[in-house]
Amino acid sequence: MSPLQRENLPGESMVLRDVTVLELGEGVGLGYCGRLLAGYGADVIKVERPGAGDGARYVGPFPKGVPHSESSGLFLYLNTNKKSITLDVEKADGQHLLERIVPHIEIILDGLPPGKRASLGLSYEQLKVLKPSLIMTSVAPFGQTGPYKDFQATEIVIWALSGYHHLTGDPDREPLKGWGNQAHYQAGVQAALATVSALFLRDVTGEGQWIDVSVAESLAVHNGSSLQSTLYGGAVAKRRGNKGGDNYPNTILPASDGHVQLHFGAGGLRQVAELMGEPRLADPKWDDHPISHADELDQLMLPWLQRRTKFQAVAEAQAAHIPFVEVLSPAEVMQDEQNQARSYFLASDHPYAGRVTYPGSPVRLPACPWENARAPLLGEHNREVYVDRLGLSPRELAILSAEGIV
Amino acid sequence: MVMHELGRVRVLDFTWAVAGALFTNLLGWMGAQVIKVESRNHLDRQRHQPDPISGRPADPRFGTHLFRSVNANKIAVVLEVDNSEDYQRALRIISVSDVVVANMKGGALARLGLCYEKVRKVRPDVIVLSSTGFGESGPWRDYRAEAPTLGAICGLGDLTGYPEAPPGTMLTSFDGANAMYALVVLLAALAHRARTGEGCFIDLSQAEGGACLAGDSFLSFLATGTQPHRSGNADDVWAPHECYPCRGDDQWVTIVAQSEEEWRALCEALGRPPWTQKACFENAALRVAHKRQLDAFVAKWTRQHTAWEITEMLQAAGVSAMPVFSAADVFADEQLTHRGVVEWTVHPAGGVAPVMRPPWMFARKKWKPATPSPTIGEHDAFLRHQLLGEGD
Repeated sequence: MSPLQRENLPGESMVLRDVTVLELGEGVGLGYCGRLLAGYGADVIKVERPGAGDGARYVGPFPKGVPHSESSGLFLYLNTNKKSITLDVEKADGQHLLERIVPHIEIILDGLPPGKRASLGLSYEQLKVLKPSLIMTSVAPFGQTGPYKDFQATEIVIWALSGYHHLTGDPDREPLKGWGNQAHYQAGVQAALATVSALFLRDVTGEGQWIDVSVAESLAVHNGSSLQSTLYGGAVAKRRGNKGGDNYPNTILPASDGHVQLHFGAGGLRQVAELMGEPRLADPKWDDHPISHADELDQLMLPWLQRRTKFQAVAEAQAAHIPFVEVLSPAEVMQDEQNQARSYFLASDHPYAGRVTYPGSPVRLPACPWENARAPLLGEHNREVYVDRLGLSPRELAILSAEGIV
Repeated sequence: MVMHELGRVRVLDFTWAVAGALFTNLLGWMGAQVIKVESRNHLDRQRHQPDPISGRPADPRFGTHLFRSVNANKIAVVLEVDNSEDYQRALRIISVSDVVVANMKGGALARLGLCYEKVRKVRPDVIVLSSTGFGESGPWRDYRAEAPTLGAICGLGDLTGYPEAPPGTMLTSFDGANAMYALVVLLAALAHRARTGEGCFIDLSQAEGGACLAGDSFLSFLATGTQPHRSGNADDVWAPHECYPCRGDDQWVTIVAQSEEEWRALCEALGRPPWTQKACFENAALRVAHKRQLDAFVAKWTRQHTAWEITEMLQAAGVSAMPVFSAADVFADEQLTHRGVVEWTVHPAGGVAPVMRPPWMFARKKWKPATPSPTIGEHDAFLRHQLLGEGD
C-alpha cells in the first residue's frame, strides 16, 4: 500500500475505497465529480489555494445571510466526504511538492483552464512520468480541443450552446435558462462516470488515460429527440411554453393550492376523461395531434383540478395509473413523504454552519452505503496528508506554510 | 485487438423507453455485451411511437430516430417472460451474465420473478440494477413517472420560469443524468465484485437523481429560511446575466459579466457609451437592482448585431457570451463537429442513423464504431444456439 492510501477499517465495504484522488481546480462540475467519487468511498483530497481557498467558499448561500469562508452552502454541498489541503501550484516549490504527491494517487481531477495547465507544467504527459498508470479527468467549459476551447463560459452560456435554452420558455418571449447549475452537475456526473470507467480500462490494459470532459457537450448530447429530428432533416423544434410532445396532456396547470405537472399515461386522453368524469375529453376529434387542441383540453381539465388540492389531484391520478405529480418547491421536496421514507436527505454537523442537510445519493447499494461526512475546513488535512502520509517533518510543513506554499 | 472497459461483461437488459435505453447504450459503448430483451406484446415504446418528423407511428422493426440512437451497440432478443419456457431461458441467460438491469416501475421486477433474491439463486454474484421513478421503497414506490414530471417533483420545475409567471416544465434530460448516475454506481459495484466476489442490488430513484441537480436550492432554503424563486435568466449576484434579442428572427445571445473586470471589458467592447457610466450601474449589486434598465440598454445594442458578431466581439474581450443555438445550430456548430459528438452508422432501415457518442473522450483511446440498433428479435438465433446451446 502506498503511503497516501488510507488504512481500510474492518468491515468497511465502500466501493471505491482503494482509490486516492487529487482534486486540483475549481468549478461546480469538477467539485460534483469529486463529491460523487468521495461519496462512494474514494479518498478525495481537494487542493485549495493557501489563504483564500476554493472559490465556492465565497458563493453562499450563507446561514442567516452572513458570509463566512467556512459556511458557504455551495462549498458544503460539493465537498462532503473530502479532505482539504492547501498548496500553491503556481509556485515552483508548490509544484515540487505536488510532484511528490502524484506517485501515490490514482486519479487527478483537473479543472485548470486548458492554456494555464500547460504553462504550469502540469500537462498529463508531464504528470504521467511520475505515475505511469495515472488517470487524469479534465473538466472544461468546451473541452480541451476545438475552436472554443479558450472561450469564457458560465452556466447560461452552456445552456445557450446546448439547444435547451432555445427550446425552453414561451414562444413569444426570450428563451429561458433552467434553474441553477444543472449543466455543470450533469458534467460532474459524466466526469465521475468516465473516471470510474477509466479505472476498468486501466485494469485491462495497465494504462492510465487523460479524459476530456466538455460541460457544453454534457448538456447538448442529451437534447435527444429535437436533435435527432434535426439530424434527419426535419423541422427545427420551437419553444412551446410548458407544452411538450405531440400527445396530451403534457403541461403544468393550477390546482386549488398550487400547480400540477400533468402527463398522459398509457391510456391517453380517454384515461384522463375517466379520471376526471369529463366525457368530452374522450372525444375522438382530439385524436389527431392532441397537442394542437391544448387550450380547449385545458379548459376541460381545469374544473377538476381546481376542486382539488395538488396533493389530492396527484393521489387520485396515480391511483388510476396516470403519471401526474405535484410541482414541489425545494421546501416541499425536503418534507415530501417519499423522500422522508427513503431517508434521501442526510444531515451532518459542521463547526461553523451548524447542522447541514443535503441530498444524499440517488442510488442505494445496501451493501455499500453512501458516506456522509461534512465538507472539510480549509487545509484541515494538511498535517495528515503532508506529515502522516507523505513523511514531511512538522518543521518542514511549518516552513512551507510560512512561505505561503501550503 | 482493441481492449474495452467492460469487454468481459454481459448485461441482460430489460429496460425500455429512453431513460433505460440510454443507460445500456453507454454500457455498449464501453464494450459490454448488451442483450436487449423485448416482449412482442410489450415492445419498447420507442419502436412505434409517432416519429417527430412524420407524425406517423414509426416502423417497429427499426423504431423512431431516437430509438436508433439510444439502442445502438446492443443485440436484441424476444422473450415472453410470463411464459414459463421463456422465463427459464431468462434464468439460464442470467446464470451466464454479470448484470441485470430494468427500468420498470417499482415492484415490477419482483412480479416477473426477476427480483434480486430470485436471480441470485442462479447467479450468486449477479448485480441487479433497478431504475424506477421513485425507488423500490416508500409510499410512492408504485407511482408512475415521465421525464417532465421528474422536473416538477424534484423542485426544479418550481424554480424554472419567468419571474412573474407560473412554474415551467423542465426540459433538461433527467433521463441522461439518471443513466449516468446508474452507470457510475454499476461500475463501482462491478469493482466491488471484482474485489470481494459479491454481487448486489442497486436501487435508483429517478426523482432523487433529479433532486441532486437542484442540490444547492435545498441549502439555500435551509441557510436563509427563504425559498429561492423563479428568476428567468437572472442571477442574484451578477448582471448583466441575460438572454438578449439580436438581429434576425428569434435570434438571441446570452451575455454574462461575472466580475467587475468583465463588466469593464464589456463597457470597453461597447465603446463606452454614456449609459455605461451611470451611477446606478456602478457595481454588481446596483446593476442587479436596476436590471430592467440595464437590460433595456444592452438589448438596444444587441438588436443591431447578429448573435455571432456579438459573441466574437465579447469573447475577444474576455466576456462570456454565446448565441442561443437551435437544435439545427447545435449540429452545424464547428466546436461539436470538431469533437465528433455525432457518429453516423449505416442502418438496416436504409440510409444512415446518427448516434450520439458518450460526452467524454479518452485522449489515447478512440470509441469503437457504433453498431446500428437491432430489429425485433434480430439475435434470437444467436441466443438459442450460441448462448444457450439449444438445437434447432
